[in-house]
Amino acid sequence: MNRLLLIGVAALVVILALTVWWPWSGRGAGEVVVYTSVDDVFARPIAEAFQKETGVTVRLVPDTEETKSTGLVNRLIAEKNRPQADVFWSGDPVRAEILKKQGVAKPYRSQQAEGLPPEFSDTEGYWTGFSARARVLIYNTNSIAAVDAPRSVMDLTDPRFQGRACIANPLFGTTSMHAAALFAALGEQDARRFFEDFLANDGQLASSNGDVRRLVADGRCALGVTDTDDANVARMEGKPVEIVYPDAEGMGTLIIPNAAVLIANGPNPDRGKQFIDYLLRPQTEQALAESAAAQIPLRGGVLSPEGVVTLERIHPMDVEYTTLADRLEMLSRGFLKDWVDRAR
Amino acid sequence: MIVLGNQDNGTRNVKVWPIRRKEKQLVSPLILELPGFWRWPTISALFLLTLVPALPLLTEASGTAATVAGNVFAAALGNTLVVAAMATITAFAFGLPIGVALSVYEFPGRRFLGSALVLPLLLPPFLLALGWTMLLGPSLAGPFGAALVFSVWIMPLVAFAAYAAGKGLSATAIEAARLAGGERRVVILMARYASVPGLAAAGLGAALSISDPGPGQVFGLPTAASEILTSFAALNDFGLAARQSLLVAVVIVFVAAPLAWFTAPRMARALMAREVRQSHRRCARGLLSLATFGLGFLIVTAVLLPILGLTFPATSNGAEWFPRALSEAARTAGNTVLYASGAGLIAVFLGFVLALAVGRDAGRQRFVIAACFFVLCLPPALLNLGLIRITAAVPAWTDPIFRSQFAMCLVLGLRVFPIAAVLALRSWASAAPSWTHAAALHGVSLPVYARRILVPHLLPAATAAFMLCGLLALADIGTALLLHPPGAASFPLAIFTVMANAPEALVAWLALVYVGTAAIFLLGASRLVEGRRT
Repeated sequence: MNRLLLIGVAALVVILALTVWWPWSGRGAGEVVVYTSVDDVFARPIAEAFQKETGVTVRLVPDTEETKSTGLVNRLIAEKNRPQADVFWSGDPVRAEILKKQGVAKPYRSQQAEGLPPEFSDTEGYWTGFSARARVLIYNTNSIAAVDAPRSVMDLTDPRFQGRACIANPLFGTTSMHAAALFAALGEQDARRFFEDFLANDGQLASSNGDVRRLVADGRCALGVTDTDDANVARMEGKPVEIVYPDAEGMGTLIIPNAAVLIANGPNPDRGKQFIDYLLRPQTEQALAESAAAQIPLRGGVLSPEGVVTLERIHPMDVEYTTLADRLEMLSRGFLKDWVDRAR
Repeated sequence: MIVLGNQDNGTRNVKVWPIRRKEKQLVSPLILELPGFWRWPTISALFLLTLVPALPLLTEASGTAATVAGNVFAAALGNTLVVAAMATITAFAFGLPIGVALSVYEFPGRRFLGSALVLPLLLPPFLLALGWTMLLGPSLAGPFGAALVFSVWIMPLVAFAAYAAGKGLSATAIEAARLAGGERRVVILMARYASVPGLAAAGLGAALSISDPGPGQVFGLPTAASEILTSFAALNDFGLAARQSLLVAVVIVFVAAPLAWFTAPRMARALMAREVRQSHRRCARGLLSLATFGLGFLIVTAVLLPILGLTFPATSNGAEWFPRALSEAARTAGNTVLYASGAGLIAVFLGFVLALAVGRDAGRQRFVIAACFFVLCLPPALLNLGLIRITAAVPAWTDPIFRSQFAMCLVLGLRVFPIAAVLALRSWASAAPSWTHAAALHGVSLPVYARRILVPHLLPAATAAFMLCGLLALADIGTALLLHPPGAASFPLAIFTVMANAPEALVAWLALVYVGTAAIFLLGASRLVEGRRT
């Protein structure tokens, strides 16, 4: 009996040890580790297609900036001395820029980047921008008639929308990038006034862009600012929402490109480069445009499905993406932190 | 017995160990009862082990000049304490009677109630909070909403601690109470007996909730955890986050000290169970039956409502997402089971070693319970990011240990082991010292005593601790996100990573598949345990 028990315990230990060890036994040149802040539902099909086409195993580690996690960027920074990742596929360029500043990224200029507009990439090649989202206004069609539809982000402070407008917490995610871009585009004084007026207009602070989507779709808010992928999901679900690309006449709509980052000293740099090449192909831009994310191809000539607005039809906000990270850091420690504390 | 080999009529070699040699090897069970120099070093080593991963960031904390405690942080800390207090009181008020009822009475829906109670532990609190908001909108905003979510989340801990304590009470004691004053007397006896572990469980659950920023974020309530998250995720200031974490932990230990002072000696004093015969559950009748059923209904409603809110979109539309949810479940099932069982095993092992080291000394118990509060209210990110830094600094050949599923299990186990420790302390306290003395008097060795007496006695508490810790570990998304090896996600993590932008129906199906699978598994496990008992 005792012997049987001992054999059983030993077998359990061996099984557990093998379970732990097994994934490491096959780890090598035939795989690539990709950290991504792009939502799993959008990133995984691309990773699977790459795997099918090349035979290289993709180990995908997804995150989402919307759900307020400590996040993969912090994991990458903490792993800097001996990284596990080969590639960081960022949902926005600000986090890519943070990695560049922290010495986590390595320059890589892909042949496949040809045709991508250079203004959406790092000039030194630390990250390359491709398919983009945009910051858009969504409004509930049951609450706002088409003729009264908002046209500018500034409409969030309009008295006719008093207590009915919402934005996500500007300390996190793409809203933080949007806030930094507003400060860059409007200037310090006007941007501060916008945020103060939003509070004075009883604007609501949502926990995330997904929350903005829900609040507007359910009619608890009449309008809000969110990303195109959120807005598109609401539309696909048949919610009574309309999308407006704001400030077509003025400062323009903020475009948020994806950013492909090669990790410095990653375990498989060649596979990492191969994956980045794959991401930057026109076919990947097309696949992302056709997905539920409805991402905007940055290249001209990539066929977009109906409903996906092309870059040519948008007036993009004129921002220098490489400077946004510094500006955001300063704002997060100062004005934005204080503003959020007062808004809650 | 001193004969270790086969003994027969001489046709085979007879192997008999000399008595003296055996006696030299014998370790008396009395070592468990007597004071020993090994106790404090063991206790210290266990708690230091839990803090080792945090050391890199704690070191960084000393180098930062940023102000930790401004008005905003103080207000957030105040909110945290209010929510924790509300959640502790509510969870205790509802969890204790349910735990008592589950252990003493048979009533309609008892098995269903027991299974439903576990459901909140399966889900991270922020998912429960989302469920409430999907159902009721903004009406729960503020401290009330956060307190409600945490109450429902902590209540199972209280109920199961009370249940485990109730099962430890002897049949004689219950029958005597019944003879002396009927069912009212039985309920009072059980409630008094189970209140101390129940209170300790409520306090520990509240401490665990303090490090969770989710519900505060969802309900728009600034809490200390959300401030720490901001320092980590928005400011990338690990030093500031570490200092804030330490401040919170110190305040919590200070606030929880009276609770530790109160509960610790009573853990040891509740030495009533000397009899191995357990009482059988009696059918609740009349008013008692009605009250039990009503309370059960109320709790099941509170537990199921947010889950219904979360899973409602699955029923209204989007059936095409069901296969996708199933494939996610299949992809992550192995790792999910591994993380839950690994963390549970490690937590149980550490918790019971700690309980043995603490023994029956009230001073050590007070210290340990206070230390458990300290460990539980530290934000997981502090330990996780610290561990990542450590693993990035050690040689690559250690990766199969420190960057594998084992590391995940270890860190999750270290995080939740105080829960197992409390159950172990209580279980250990209910083992009579006279058992040990009798065993020592008759020359029974420690291994034999452990195998024949101690382990069977501690096994129910260990099983409960294993399941609770495993479930709590699965709900710790923050740790999973930062430490899971590439390609080895758990199912809750898979839900977390798709929930922001995925269609509501997919999130709903994922939650439904997860909760459904877990409920079936738990129901099966409980039936198996019940079957073995009968």
